[in-house]
Amino acid sequence: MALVLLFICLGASAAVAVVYAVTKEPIELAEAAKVNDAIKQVVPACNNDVAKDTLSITDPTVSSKMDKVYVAKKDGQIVGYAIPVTTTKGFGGAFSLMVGFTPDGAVYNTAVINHQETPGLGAKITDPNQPFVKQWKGMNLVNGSVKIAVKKDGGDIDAITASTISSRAFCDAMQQAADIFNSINSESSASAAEAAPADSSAVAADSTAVVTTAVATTAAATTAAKGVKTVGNKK
Amino acid sequence: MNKFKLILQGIIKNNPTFVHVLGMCPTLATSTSALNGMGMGLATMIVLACSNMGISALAPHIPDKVRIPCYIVVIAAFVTVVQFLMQAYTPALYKTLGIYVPLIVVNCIVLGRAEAYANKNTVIDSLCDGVGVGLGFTLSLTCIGIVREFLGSLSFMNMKLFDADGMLIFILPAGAFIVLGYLMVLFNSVKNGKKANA
Repeated sequence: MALVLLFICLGASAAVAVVYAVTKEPIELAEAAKVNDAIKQVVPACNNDVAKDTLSITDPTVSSKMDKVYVAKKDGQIVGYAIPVTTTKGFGGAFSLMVGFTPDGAVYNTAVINHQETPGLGAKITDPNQPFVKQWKGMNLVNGSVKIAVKKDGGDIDAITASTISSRAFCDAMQQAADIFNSINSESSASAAEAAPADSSAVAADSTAVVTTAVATTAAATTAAKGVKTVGNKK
Repeated sequence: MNKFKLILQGIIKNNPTFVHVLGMCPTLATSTSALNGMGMGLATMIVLACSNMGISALAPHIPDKVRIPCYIVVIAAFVTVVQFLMQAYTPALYKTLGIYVPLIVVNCIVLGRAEAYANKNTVIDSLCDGVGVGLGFTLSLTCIGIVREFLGSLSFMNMKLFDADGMLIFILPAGAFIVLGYLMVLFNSVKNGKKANA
């Protein structure tokens, strides 16, 4: 009796193991394709290999599970950033977004990488035609003009009807993305500040051109970055 | 028995949703839209057909006392295999159904058919029964999905028919019960009416 059960378990686990081995590679490819698709959706037209052109986030105050940022470049000029974020506050568990920013801090587009929200309700976050999803486009999250929270919580974001929790989680993810953007942007604007220390108001707007050099941040630039960043946050 | 008749029986006489009222959890959870319901139904059908075959082949060797653990191991193995295959080759479908697939393991339709049919019948008959009952489940879920999707979000197969908001309750679990109840009445009255005429 026990022997039969043992054999059946052995057979079943062997079958599962074989299928796992066979499908491991296609699954990884499918996952990578999903991330690539998401990146393409959220950044403006570019001609570098975005999936490979990444910045790692060094700022320890920005907690993120996926600690890299994809950089989109056109002819060497940075045209956008794709920032993957995960929030654990979703209605059906954690969900991940890819958030695209243009270099001035405006949201270019967002894409849901994976989610477990209720179909027909919270799952509306995946529909690009939803007003909730559209409202983010062009919104500048880093200059302080937008309070990233649903209107019920005193913010500026219209929630999805009957899906306040999903909408809140989405805001949480966007906040994370904005923080990450701030941290990479402050590094780049720090080196801009070194180049033109007097004209601090122009720093934010000008930062795009120097981001490439800022990747190899010197110790001095990092120190300066702390100063710039606090200013940015107060705004 | 005629194989075709076996399959038809699974759809009408042994319809798991409307007649046996089995597997209500996935029925209510996945029927928010017609396509979701259909995908879940097809995934269940594949598992049901495979597990029915496997169990009917193994049944003569399985002692009575440990049959339930054995069935569950076989079913769980097939579900895991289906999940891996979906993840690898149909990532889009996996994206919408991913969380429901592991639920098939504890779907009482699968265990119910193993216990009620597959362990007493031949491999081929069990396969037909699995396909039939699976098709019955798929059709029921698709019907519920069509009605709920139409009333709840005014669309059909994810195509928006009217530019307005539907009745939210039909997307929520309460609406699922209401639609299920009415469709069950309709199904059984049609089915029994046929019998009276024949």
